[in-house]
Amino acid sequence: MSLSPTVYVMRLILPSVDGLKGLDQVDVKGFLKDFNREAPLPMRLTVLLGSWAFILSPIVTLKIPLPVFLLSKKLQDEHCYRIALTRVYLLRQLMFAVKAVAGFCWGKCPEVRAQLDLKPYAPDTGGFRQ
Amino acid sequence: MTHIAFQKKGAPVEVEADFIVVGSGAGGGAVASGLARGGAKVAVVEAGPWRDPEHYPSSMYGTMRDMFDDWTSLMTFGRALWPVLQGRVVGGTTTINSAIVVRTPADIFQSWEKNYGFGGEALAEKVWAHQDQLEKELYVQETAPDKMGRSNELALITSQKRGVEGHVIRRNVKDCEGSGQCLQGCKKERKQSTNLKMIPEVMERGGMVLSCAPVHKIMLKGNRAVGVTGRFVHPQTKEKGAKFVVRAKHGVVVAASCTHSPALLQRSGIKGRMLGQLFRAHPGSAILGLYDDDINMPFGATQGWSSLEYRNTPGFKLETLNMPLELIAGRISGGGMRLMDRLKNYRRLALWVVACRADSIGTVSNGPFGKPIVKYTMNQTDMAKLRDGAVEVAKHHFAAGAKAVMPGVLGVPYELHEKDLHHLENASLDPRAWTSILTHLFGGCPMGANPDVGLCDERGRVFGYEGLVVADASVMPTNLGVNPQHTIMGLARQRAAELLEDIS
Ligand SMILES: Cc1cc2nc3c(=O)[nH]c(=O)nc-3n(C[C@H](O)[C@H](O)[C@H](O)COP(=O)(O)OP(=O)(O)OC[C@H]3O[C@@H](n4cnc5c(N)ncnc54)[C@H](O)[C@@H]3O)c2cc1C
Ligand code: SF4
Repeated sequence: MSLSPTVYVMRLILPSVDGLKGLDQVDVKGFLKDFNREAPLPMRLTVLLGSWAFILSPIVTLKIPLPVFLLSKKLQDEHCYRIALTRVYLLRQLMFAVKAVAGFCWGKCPEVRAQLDLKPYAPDTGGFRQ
Repeated sequence: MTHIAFQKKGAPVEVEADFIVVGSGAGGGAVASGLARGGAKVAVVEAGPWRDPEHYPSSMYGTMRDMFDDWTSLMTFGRALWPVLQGRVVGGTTTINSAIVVRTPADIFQSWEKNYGFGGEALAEKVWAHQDQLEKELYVQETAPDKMGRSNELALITSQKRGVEGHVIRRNVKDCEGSGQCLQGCKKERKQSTNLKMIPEVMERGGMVLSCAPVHKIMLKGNRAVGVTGRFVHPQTKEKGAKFVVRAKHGVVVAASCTHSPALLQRSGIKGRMLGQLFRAHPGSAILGLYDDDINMPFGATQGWSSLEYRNTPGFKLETLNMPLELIAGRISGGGMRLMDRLKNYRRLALWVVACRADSIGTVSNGPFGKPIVKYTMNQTDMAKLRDGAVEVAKHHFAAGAKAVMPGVLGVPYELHEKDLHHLENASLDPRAWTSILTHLFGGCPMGANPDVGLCDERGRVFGYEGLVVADASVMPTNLGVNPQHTIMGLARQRAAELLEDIS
């Protein structure tokens, strides 16, 4: 796992499939750079904590006491699916936070939008009346 | 015309006006413009920046960052953590809402009179008269048929087919282009949010606006409100800027929302048994329907159809909601390849929602760093209503031709076909099993006949204080069972009329 935990996890949550690009083909690093600069600290911490919880929780979903990066691709994907539906509420909420932020990154990517025949977004300038 | 945005650290910014209005959303915009029309000099003090349509973001990431309060990170503390959504920008939540306009139902004024000792027919007549005027000012109209979009159309046809009350929503939108981007702010300048007309009107009439200016405290002289203070905050860097002091000759009108108004009053040392009490909401949940043909949620009015059939019994409202791709990615259950396969169907999805007219009551208090704390848990009766509403939405989808519905409730299969509806009918009533959000908020500074039942009297004046009036959603002691902005604006305009009467 040579990536930052959050990049790694987000790519697993929204991977490429036939006909639809996932976060492995999107600039997640660039997105997270902006996110870490702009988002409030509690939100950043929640996403980081959620990412680590994801990595360390195959014991909860698959009963396998290994971090997710030591699992096979197939098991990683199974973990990814199950963790989003775990009965442990706080864990589920943490996953929801990571998934929601991953969704923000993925859904605004112009290539992804083009694949779904959606118009690209104009830039978010952040401008305001001075 | 004066607009003072973020000011770097240095000498304090000091200004004076007849009235200060804290917040520029539905309540703040309406009360401020009403006061300005009566000749009063008004200073609107708004925590968020002033963003014009050309500054509005397009993506949901930009929307969270630029338009929503604290990136929507405010959650209910209770059995479940449900997001509480509000705007933080000039225009408040009206900038990011769906512009639905519904007149205050008569039963609301009756219930306020019966249970809280104010309201009744006299107030109803006044509020409705203001609403007549507001509807003209804000171009309230139905969306044109060619701008409805497929999801809204389907829901409408289906309500006719099923014999269920259902109608094209009336919105404060002039000639909607159906771009489905109300949540991001209407870049087409069609939606008449308060930043477009009401706040500029305040300035045209000699008032001023301080933006990027979160009020920290209301200044009191004895028991009289005489001004507000705070520090400018840069909307991008969050850098703290200069201090501001705004003095009021006649009064301070608080319209900072159901969460921020009670928190601000508490921070300012205001006392009242009912401060922070009677917080209520219309918690909402979304049910996706999967169709054979192209639905294309990004085209059409963001919300174009609604049903009030079940408003009174059991107590919920149904609506369509066109949701952007990013939010659907977070909303669809699961993760990994299966989630992506599901997302391939985005164009064939229609999202319809149930908003529950919940009786559950919560509280709001001022937390660390000036952040409000909302304690709220839906009781089992309300959860049953929410579930009934979700079932009704699912039935509506099936009647509209959906192949399957996706309720997104824990313990219920991801995809339900018509024959499997019993899974949803028997879904858990634990709030933790449900993904809900709170967008319609009420209470926190409720009106009432006396300080035992209300923080404010029937004119929004805080009991025990002078020159301190509340004029936003927080004054409502009950929820409405319909979308709130029109009631908030009608009440706020009435507050303006009363304040002008007081000073004449
Ligand atoms: C996504 C969404 C969609 C909605 N759609 C509809 C709809 O279609 N129809 C409808 O009727 N209702 C809708 N609503 C609800 C409706 O918009 C709100 O009920 C209404 O705007 C509340 O009015 P308000 O004046 O109480 O607060 P707001 O409109 O939220 O305004 C409060 C303002 O006060 C400011 N503020 C807060 N704290 C401070 C402070 N300390 N100092 C200075 N300023 C401060 C905030 O930044 C904000 O601008 C929607 C809500 C949401 C979240
Ligand atoms: S649907 Fe589009 S054009 Fe219509 S009001 Fe909303 S953002 Fe504006």
